[in-house]
Amino acid sequence: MRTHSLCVIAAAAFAAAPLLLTGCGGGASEPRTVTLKSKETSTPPGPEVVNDVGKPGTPEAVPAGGFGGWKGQVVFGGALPQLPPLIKQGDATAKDPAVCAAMAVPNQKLVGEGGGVANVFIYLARPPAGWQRDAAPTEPAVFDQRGCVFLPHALLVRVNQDVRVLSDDPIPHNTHTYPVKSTAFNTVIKAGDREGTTFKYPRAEAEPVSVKCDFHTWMQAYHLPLDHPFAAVSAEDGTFEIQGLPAGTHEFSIWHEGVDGAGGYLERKFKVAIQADQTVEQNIDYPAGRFVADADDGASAVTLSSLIRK
Amino acid sequence: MNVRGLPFIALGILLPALLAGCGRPEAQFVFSKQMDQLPADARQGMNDTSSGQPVRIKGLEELLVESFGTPNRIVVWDKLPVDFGKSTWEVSSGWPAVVGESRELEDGKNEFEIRVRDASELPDDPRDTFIHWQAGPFAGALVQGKTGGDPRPAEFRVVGHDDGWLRVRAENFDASADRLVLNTGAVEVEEAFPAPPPAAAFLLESPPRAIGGDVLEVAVNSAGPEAEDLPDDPAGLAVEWLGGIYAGSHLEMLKGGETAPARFRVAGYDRDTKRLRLQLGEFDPDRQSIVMNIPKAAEGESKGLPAPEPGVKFALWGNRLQEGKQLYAVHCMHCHGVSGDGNGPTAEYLDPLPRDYRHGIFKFTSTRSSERARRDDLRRTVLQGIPGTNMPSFLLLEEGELDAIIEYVLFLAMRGEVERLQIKDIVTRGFKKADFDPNDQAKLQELADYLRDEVPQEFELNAEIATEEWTRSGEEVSLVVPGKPRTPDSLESRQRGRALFLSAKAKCTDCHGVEGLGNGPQTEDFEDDPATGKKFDEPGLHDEWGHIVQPRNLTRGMYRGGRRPIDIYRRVYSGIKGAKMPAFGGTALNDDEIWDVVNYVLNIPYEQSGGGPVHEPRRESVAATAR
Repeated sequence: MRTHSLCVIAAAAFAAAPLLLTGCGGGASEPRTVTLKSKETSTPPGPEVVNDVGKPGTPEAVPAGGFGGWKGQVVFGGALPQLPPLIKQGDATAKDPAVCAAMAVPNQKLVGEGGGVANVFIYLARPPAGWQRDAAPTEPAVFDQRGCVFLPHALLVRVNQDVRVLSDDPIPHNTHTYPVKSTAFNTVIKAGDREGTTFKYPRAEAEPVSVKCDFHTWMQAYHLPLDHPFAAVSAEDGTFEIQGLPAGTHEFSIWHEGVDGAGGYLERKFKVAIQADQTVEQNIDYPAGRFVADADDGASAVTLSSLIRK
Repeated sequence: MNVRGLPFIALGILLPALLAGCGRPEAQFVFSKQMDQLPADARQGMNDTSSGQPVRIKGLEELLVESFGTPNRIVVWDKLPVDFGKSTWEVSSGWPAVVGESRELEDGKNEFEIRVRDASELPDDPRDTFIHWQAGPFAGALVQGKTGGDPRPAEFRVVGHDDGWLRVRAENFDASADRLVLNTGAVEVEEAFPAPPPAAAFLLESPPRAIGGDVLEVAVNSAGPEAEDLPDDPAGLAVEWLGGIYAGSHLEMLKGGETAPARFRVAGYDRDTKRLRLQLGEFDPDRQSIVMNIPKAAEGESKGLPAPEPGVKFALWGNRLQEGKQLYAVHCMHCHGVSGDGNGPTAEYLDPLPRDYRHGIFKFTSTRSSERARRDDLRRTVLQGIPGTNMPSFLLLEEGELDAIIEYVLFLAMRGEVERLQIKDIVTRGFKKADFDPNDQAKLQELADYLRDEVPQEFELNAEIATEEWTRSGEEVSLVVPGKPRTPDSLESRQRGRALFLSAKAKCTDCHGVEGLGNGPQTEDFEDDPATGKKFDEPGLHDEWGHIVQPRNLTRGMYRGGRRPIDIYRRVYSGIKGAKMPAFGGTALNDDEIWDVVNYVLNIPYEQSGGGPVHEPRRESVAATAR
């Protein structure tokens, strides 16, 4: 009985096979068409997005409430950990020790004094509604290199503002940016170049851009190109101040390289209520738990096998 | 239990399942793996129920398909700097002819006969063609009712031919009710037509025909300099009406509400008669009506699609990209993948890996360090291949084929860039799958608002980034041209170049090693991954794509970006995009220094053999490129 039914299945499957086979295929003969993405199919204009470069703001929306400021301090929730330097002073095994190890190269993943945290980016992700767009500053943003350390470590730049890259070291550096919306800058800056080489960010970024030197891989800095002036980098003691904000409540992005080890937002929408002709004081808390010293902590102990070239 | 019935039950279940799997598989562009970072709603779209009525909001996948299509259903987004292929055509072909003789007919009040000077100009069977008078009394003649009314253009059709004589009838003229207004100044004809004078030139025009349903047939003439002829198989090309009743036409739901653009496509082409069949796609006459650019009075008279007027121009779009896609599928896809992600079926066997176009970065360019590649750079790479890799030379491709492939590769690059940038936008906006709770209603609504109100514009802006970058790289100012001609290759120049190569000034040896073997100390360092901020697991230099990249071994005499001195010059001047090689030009090294380095680098392969033969570059090609 069992054998018999198997036969029937086999026979049925056999009979069905040609049917099945002829029904398949045809991928190659799929008809080819071209469609015009014409203007009438494109998405109708919605609410205006004002974060594109060059689009004028809407002046009639300027708040009648006037303008105010915000100042405060990024306060670390605990004792600031003392991170060992990346390169010890006089470390002969470092690359270009005569220059790079002449002074210790600090680990700037978390620096500050008096309980404050430096190098925190505080900025509006987009210019406030109704803000009248202004021209990029004609003064260049200066970005220097000394003792195989970038100066400053965290730099605010305006879109289309010249960034002047200098070097005060007797060896060349290779300044290499990693922007998302603009093309990378990857250029050798000659030794002791006080005249500098300039470049621009033609477009704003949502998050700070990592800047490295490929010759000295520990060198690290961050640039944040924005299309508006409503931003600050916290100073050595964690203090910051932003002026000229339209009155009203704003949501600030608070970004720091030490957050979760690889850089991230301390807060995405830090609400601050700005009042006209006043400077609001409001601090930003940096919980100690948000800081992870090394992104690689516990994640990747280098094993011997990974050292073997594939 | 009836065991015998089981197989049939099994078959009954299996068969439909199997057959259902046999639908025609549709080729798709593979979405980036980075898409996995997004919440499902951001990828696939979602329903916004905030207003009570569920409203569909497009996800990123749908936006991408809508803007770039699929391999077989290419979308022409003419904002992108891609040559999709466009040719302009004019409805109705004409055979220019000049009347030689003409005679009136006794029996026909609205017919007459003409003979042309050169009968060989005429088609074999000119019947049913229309005559378009270019001069003489009939040019621009009008028919008007005797009792008044709006005048209309007189139409003359060939109704017969005999021994070189064409019998012509005034089609829309009724001698009892109409009068004819001639070009000579309001001459009214009631009895018979005046025969045209001997020099009246006319064109014979094939009329466009309404075939019925959603198909039109038009005879065409090329109306633009772009294309002499259509590709062998133009089926599927998009039609853009540049005038006439179909310009700006759209489909409207009969029940009101939604409209959609009327999309005509080529359904077929008869090369001999130059007749194109055009089909209105995605048209459902039961549910939709087509709204055309014609006066209200004329509307509604015709059933199905009316024929477009002779002389109307239209453009056919997409032939170049379609050809490029076909060729890409044959020659490129097995390594570079359907979407240009460098992950075709052969890719895993290759080292180095095939280029992933989706970053918009190509390594070997003639442009400044902040610029993309030029079409000429891609052309050189495709023609000559990349020595030392699996990229072969495609010298045997024909010129037009090469262009088509390059346009398609650029199209894929731009598609990938927009996809990448938009994914990045959504992630940095805070919508990341890893920390997105699909049950958090507030967060869902936030995503819905963002997808509806801002993502479409962000998408457009990202396309503009690609457009700006690719447009600028094509401009002359982006090209690296040495400020000085090459320093003649000499022992002294090589020695200066060698000194620079070894110096702390240029730091060439950091990566390329003292012997130029590509084993400098930098290849032993652990780098940070700029994407994650973490250190890579393996030591070595990493490129834009996160892969280990070996500094070139300069002792082999194989240069991936080309071996001409100008190629080496440009590698040093601008660096290698996407790789770690930085730009030295204009900053760290001046022209003389770069040329010395070039002379030295070209000599490295011969160093160990005690000097060896002097490398002799092809001077004429250097001069040509260094213009």
